[in-house]
Parts: sequence; C-alpha cells; structure tokens
Amino acid sequence: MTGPRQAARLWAGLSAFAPGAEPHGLPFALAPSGPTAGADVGRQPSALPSRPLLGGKGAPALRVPVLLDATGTPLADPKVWAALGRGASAGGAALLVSHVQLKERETVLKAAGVPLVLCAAPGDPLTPELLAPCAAVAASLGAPYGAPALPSEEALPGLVEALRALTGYRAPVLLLAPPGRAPGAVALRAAAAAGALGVGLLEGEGPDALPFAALAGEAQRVRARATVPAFLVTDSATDGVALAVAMAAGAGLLATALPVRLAAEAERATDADWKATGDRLGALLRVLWQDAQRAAAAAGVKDPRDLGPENLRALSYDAAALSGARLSGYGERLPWWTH
Amino acid sequence: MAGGDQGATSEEVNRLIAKHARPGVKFTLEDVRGHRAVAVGLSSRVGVVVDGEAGDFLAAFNAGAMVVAKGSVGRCLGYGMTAGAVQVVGSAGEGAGAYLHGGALHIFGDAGAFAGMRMAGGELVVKDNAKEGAGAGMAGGELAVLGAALGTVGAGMSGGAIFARAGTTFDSACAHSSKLDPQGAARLKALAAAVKVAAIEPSEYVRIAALADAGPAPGGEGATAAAHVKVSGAGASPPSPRVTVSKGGADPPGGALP
Repeated sequence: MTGPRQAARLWAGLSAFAPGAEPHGLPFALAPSGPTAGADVGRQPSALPSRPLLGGKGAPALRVPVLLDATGTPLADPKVWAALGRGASAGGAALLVSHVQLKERETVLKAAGVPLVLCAAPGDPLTPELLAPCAAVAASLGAPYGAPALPSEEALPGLVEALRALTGYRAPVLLLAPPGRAPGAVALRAAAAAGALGVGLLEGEGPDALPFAALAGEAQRVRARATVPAFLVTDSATDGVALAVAMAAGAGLLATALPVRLAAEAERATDADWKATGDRLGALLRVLWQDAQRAAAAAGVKDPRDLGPENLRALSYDAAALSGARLSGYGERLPWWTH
Repeated sequence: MAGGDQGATSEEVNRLIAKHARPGVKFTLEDVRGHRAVAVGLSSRVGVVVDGEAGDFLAAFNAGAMVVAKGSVGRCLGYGMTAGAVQVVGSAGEGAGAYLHGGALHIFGDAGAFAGMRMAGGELVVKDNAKEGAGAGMAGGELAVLGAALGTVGAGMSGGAIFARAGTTFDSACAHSSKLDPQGAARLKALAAAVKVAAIEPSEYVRIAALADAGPAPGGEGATAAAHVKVSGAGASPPSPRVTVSKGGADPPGGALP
C-alpha cells in the first residue's frame, strides 16, 4: 500500500534515484541479463518513446505504458478533468474512463488531446458514437457485486468481436479480469484470435485485493499459458523503478489510480490552478517513465517494455511462491513452486 | 440500391451494413454460418434479415434496428441491446438477452441457459423452453417463457417480471410468485402474440417478481418501425456470405416471419 510519504514524493516529481529516496516497497528487484547489462546506466533517458504503444485510427496514441485509472475516483469538478487531460497528454499516458465520465467530459477530454481508454462494464449502453473518440476499449469481465459479464467463457471471442465491430474495427480491445479470476488459457487464446490485444489483471480492493506478487504470478501464467499480453491494474507502483518491476513481472502496460487521486486532491485546494496541476501531473509521468528507463538500462534492456521474467527476482520466499519468479540469490525457480 | 457479393467475414459484413445503414434500408444476409457479432450496434432504423445460422452476439448493442434471424443463433443474442427489435425463428444459445436494456427480443424456438441474465429493461419472449438460469440477476423488464423453464428462474433478481408456467421453480429468497390478474393476463397475451401464439391460457401461468418490486415493471420500447435490409447469399463457401442492400418501403416488424 502507498504511504503518504511515498505519495508526496511521487507528486513532488522526485526521482527514485534522487538522494534520500525510499525503496519502492515491492518485494522484487531487477536483475541484469544479457551482455549489455549495465552499459546504458549513464545514458540520458528520453522524454517520450518514439514508437506509439496503443491507439486507434484517428485517436491520440498512448506513448508510455501507463493508464491513469479515473473510473474509481469521483471527479465532479470539470477543472480536475482539464488538469488530468493536460497532464496525461503531456506525459504520453492514457486516461481510463467509464462511459458516464466519457459522456459528461467528452468535450474537455477531446480538447486536451489525451488518449482515452473506455472501461466498458457489463450492461453499459455502448454505441459507436460513444466509442468514436477512444484509443481503445477495455471490456470488464465482471459486473459490480461479482456478476459475470458473460454466461460462459466460450462467449469471450464473441464479445471481443462485438466490441471491435462497435468501434468500427478502428480501436483495439482489451479485457479486464476481476481480481484472481482471469479467464482460462483456451478462452484467452480464442479471444486473442478474435482480436483482443491483452488482458488486464485487477489488483482489487478491500478483502478481494491481491498482493502484488500474486498479480505478478497471474500475469506470468497468462503470458506463458495463453500467450496473451497481460497488463496490471494496481496502485503498488509508486515510482519509476516499481514501474519497471511491474513491466518485468509481466505487464505490458500498467494502470494506476494513484496519480489521478493525487491530482484530484491537489485540485481541491482553494487556490488551485488546473493548468499547474496538469503540468505537475505531466512532470510526475515524465519522471516515472525516465526512472523506469534508467532501471531498465541498468538491467541491460533499452526499453522498460522489453523487460521480462528473466529480469525479475523475488526478494522474499512469499513473493517467490506467489509469483513463481526466481528467488534472489537462489539462481533458479524453487522446484516445489513451479507447479 | 443494390450491392453485390461483398460479404465474407463478419467484419466485412458489418462494414458493409455500416456503410449503407440509413433509415429504410434493408439488408439480407444469406448463407450465414456461425459468423459472430453480425449487425452490432446499429442505431438507424434499418432492417437486417439473417438467413442461415448466425453465431454469437448477433445484434449485440442494438440501438434501433429490426433484426430477423431465420435460423438458430449462437450465444448472447441481443447482448446489451437498448432499443429496436430482434426476432429469431429458430433457437438461441445461452445468454440470450443478457444485459438487455430496452427493445424487444422474440425467440420462436428454445433459449439456452441464462436467458435474460441481468436484463434491466425491454422484453424477452421465449416461445418454447428455456434452460436453467433464466432471468438470473434480473433488474427490470419482462421475461416470458411460454414453454418450460428449467432449473431456478430469477435467481438473485431485484426487479422486473417473469411470466412462467405455474410450478416453475424460482428463487424464493428474492422473488415471489403470484397468479395473473386481468392486467397481467392481458400483458401475457400481448407478449405471446409477439411470437404468434394466439391461444394461451393465462391461468396456467404465474408472474414472478422481485420481493421489493410492488408492481409490474414497465415494458421495453417494443418493435420499431421496420426498415428493410436485404443480404442475398451466394451459397458458395461457408464463411463467405454475399450481402446485398436494398431500399424500399417499411415492413411491419416480424413481417418476414412464417
């Protein structure tokens, strides 16, 4: 869980490599691999990657693998949305919004030029017009109170195709699995064949919340068995090194609500200026991405998105057991945890 | 206006429909064999006739079109539909009418498991039998099963009404059953008429509603004025239906049905 000091440092835009920085708190470390490990440590990281990560035709593209999850945060003030749009757009991240939020704030968000990812919950009244400004659609596979979106997993490819049809075959479709309930490998492979780009694994909250190590383990299982890219929806990544660790743990993409909450809190101040809040958010995202690049370079990988399980080491027995990652210092997976 | 042999995959069929979708246009799709997600998200008052066996998610997210399937269809028919009308001459797979918000969904054959799952509005009529789980998590709208409803109906329902044969098992923790009053009987007859059942005995049916629900839930928006859709099939390779588009006067909903 994120402490107030970590949140304050994150919002202040302090680098994880700055003096006095605290460890990120995840029970994992990055291990170098390959002949170039450590060679790029001194290289200045670039502000934004040149290759776009995700984006539909005619919609702004996602450039850093970060989704700012606004779906669970009540954001009534339009200035907060303006700040979020400005910050996310400057930082190259995308906003994950619900259909109600998109309907209400479409003008502000379009004006900001921020990539939008619609979180489509089961039962949302979706229309082609609503999906038109979206760079991608993330279909939630669980409704509130645990109800499934589909009568069976066999219907998953059909849902993917229906959503693709709804976007006019323009925007990619992602899946969002409820905590600990990722679809089976066969269903995921079929969904990928139907056009699903990846599956998001939710950390959850309250009694359903999964520890980060369990999330990492699930991501690796999905990637290994279903050969589908996974992404993590978690607030555990509080700095760039943690972002790089999450990438190594199996996430092609990370969705987090923490920067959104921090921006909303900053905007609640009486003398808040939405442009300043947006700029602060943009700076936060830049520092996050640059730190992730530094951490990846130290592990011998040019781009954090190219980090993989071979770069991940668990720092505790529990984390190794939950994630299936190699225990630091042991050199290989513990044999009784490789089931 | 006439189109040609354009159809092949679901994507190409959908692109063609989207390109020509205008009120009053009728598409006929022939030789459809398991194509998924056809006629999705149509908001214009167009008509789509599907000749063959459609796959999953036929007419999902429908928002105003009139869709007629002349054969059986796959899973999740009319998923998330908000308006319009869908008629299936054959049977429907599991999850027909799941997350239905509005409009009318009429199945002339059997329905698979979880028909009307978490529906929140509109009307779903099953002429024959429904497998287990009908109306599970239902929050609104009307579900009528004129044949036998297997298993427990209305599990976890919080609203809406289910018309089923007397003696049907329902979730008594959240729903109650009552004999049909004159209003309920009239409504059942109207729903039965939608699937061409003229002679129905209301005394053989009960109305199952949520415990918290005092009165009958409002019905859906019903069938919209028909548009015309024509897609003519080639009879060639299975995954390559031909699509033709025609424009003409409005047909009444269900006019194409036997």
